[in-house]
Amino acid sequence: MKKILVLAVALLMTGCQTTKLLKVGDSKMWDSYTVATSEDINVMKMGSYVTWTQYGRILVLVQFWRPVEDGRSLPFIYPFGKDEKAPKFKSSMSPDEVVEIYRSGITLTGKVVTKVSELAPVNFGTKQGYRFDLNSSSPKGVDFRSQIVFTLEGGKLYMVDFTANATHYFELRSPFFETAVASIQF
Amino acid sequence: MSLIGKFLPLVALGLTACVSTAGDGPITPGHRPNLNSTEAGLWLQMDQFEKRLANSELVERDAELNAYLKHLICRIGPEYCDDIKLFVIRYPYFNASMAPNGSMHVWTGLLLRSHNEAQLATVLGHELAHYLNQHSLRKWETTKATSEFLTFFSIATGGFGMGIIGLAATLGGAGSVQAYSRDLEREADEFGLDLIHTAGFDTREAAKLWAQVKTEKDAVDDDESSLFWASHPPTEERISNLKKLSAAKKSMPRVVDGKKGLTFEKLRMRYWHDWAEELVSSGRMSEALIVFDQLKGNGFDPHEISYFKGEVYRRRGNDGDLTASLENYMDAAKANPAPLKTYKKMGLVYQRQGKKAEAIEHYEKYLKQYPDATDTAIVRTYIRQLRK
Repeated sequence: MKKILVLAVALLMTGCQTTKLLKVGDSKMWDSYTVATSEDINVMKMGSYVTWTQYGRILVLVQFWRPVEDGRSLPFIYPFGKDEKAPKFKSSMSPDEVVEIYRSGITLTGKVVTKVSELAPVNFGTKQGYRFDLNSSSPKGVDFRSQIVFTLEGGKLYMVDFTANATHYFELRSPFFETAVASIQF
Repeated sequence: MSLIGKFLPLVALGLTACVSTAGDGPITPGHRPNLNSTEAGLWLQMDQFEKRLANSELVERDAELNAYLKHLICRIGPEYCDDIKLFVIRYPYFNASMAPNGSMHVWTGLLLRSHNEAQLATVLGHELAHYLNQHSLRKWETTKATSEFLTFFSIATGGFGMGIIGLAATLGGAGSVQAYSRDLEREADEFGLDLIHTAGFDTREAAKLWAQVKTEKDAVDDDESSLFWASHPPTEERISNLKKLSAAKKSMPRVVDGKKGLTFEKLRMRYWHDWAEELVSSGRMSEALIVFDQLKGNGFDPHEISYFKGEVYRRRGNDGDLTASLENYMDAAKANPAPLKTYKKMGLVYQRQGKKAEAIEHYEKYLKQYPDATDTAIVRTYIRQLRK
């Protein structure tokens, strides 16, 4: 029964999104900023994410989140019934507090956070941004590494999330991610 | 996909047709299942899971902590020492579980909440009792489940199933699993108490541990915990039963190995900040406040406890919580030096409240206290932004 349900959900999700090939160059993200891809890459837009992936979402992805407004939770895919418990973003939050709600949010999805780096100030395109690294594991022991950069602008949270199966795909795709982030322009 | 992996679902589906192997009474040391049995199929699935865990960051690998826990397990069940494979799982909840192949998962949330070695031994003894009496195998056979065993096992033990509530519905017999589990829990309590008594632990701590857990459980009422509590009820009946069982052993006092008790304290002190941080980050704030109060009663540094309570209030952010967090941080700051990141966190609260001067003052105090801290760059950025 479980397998039938999983198959049904998978088919449903496949019907909701289309994968396109994004050619090298700039693209507009959420009517907010532009970002460039340095190579042709698969792109999907679904819900609150625009996802770029070269080898498939299970292995490695870069997600550009729809800007999060005051009072909204971070757009993780929460298990049924947990959305209400997700911590909410507040425009008065400091970057440290954004890291905290990210960590709580990903924990609610069922992953276990095994390591979080200190927050570091970086450029988010032309804006003051922040970066942190985070390691997590699924309950079945699959490890992931993430690097997240974000900025707080006009009361909204702009976030880009790079997550990959540890360790090979993370290291393989890090340069691509860094190049993409460096290209962001508001 | 390996051949084993390819045929695993078939093995799982075919399990119910296999011969039953759960016998009466404890298994013998060095037990291995009959290859044609249901049990062998369950072992196969758990062995696969262990292979994934082997390299996962989910597992805490501190050699001293693992050696200590393994020593404790071997002290409780010396004949079965070589049969038990220990995995310390980095999960901030109160739990441990025991699979039919001798794979024991001890969660860090249990280590944080155990106030002494005897309380920790209570849970380890309880889990060993499950293993020796093949409880998970008996549960499986009783419910005639056809799901993947790992899912079944998660639900039956309140294990990682806490995060997969929806899957419980796909396991038709979830209710009966839990009802049956409660009977086995009583059996494991009694058998486990015998084990720890024989090993020389103070059995009175068993009832105290469950009383602590009951206080925590009573503070929350949500679906997420219900799977665990359904099969591990911290009820008055359970506590009362453990007290009676313990009292019956009073005439046979044993002396606890004090040296190992010190090791427990040392290891817990080494890790408790990390475990406390994980508990706060889990978002289960009501439980966290109770756990911190209990730790304070257990002799933990009251200023450090105040720091973590400040963390809970600050992150929860309900009406009045920022004020409560400041009060707790101020209490923490009475220690000299102030523990952990007290001044930085006070700066965050003031910043949230729009009190720029106070925020800058506390960020600067933090930098003065820890000039080489790894987060000085971001704190200096905050100060610079506040001065604009």
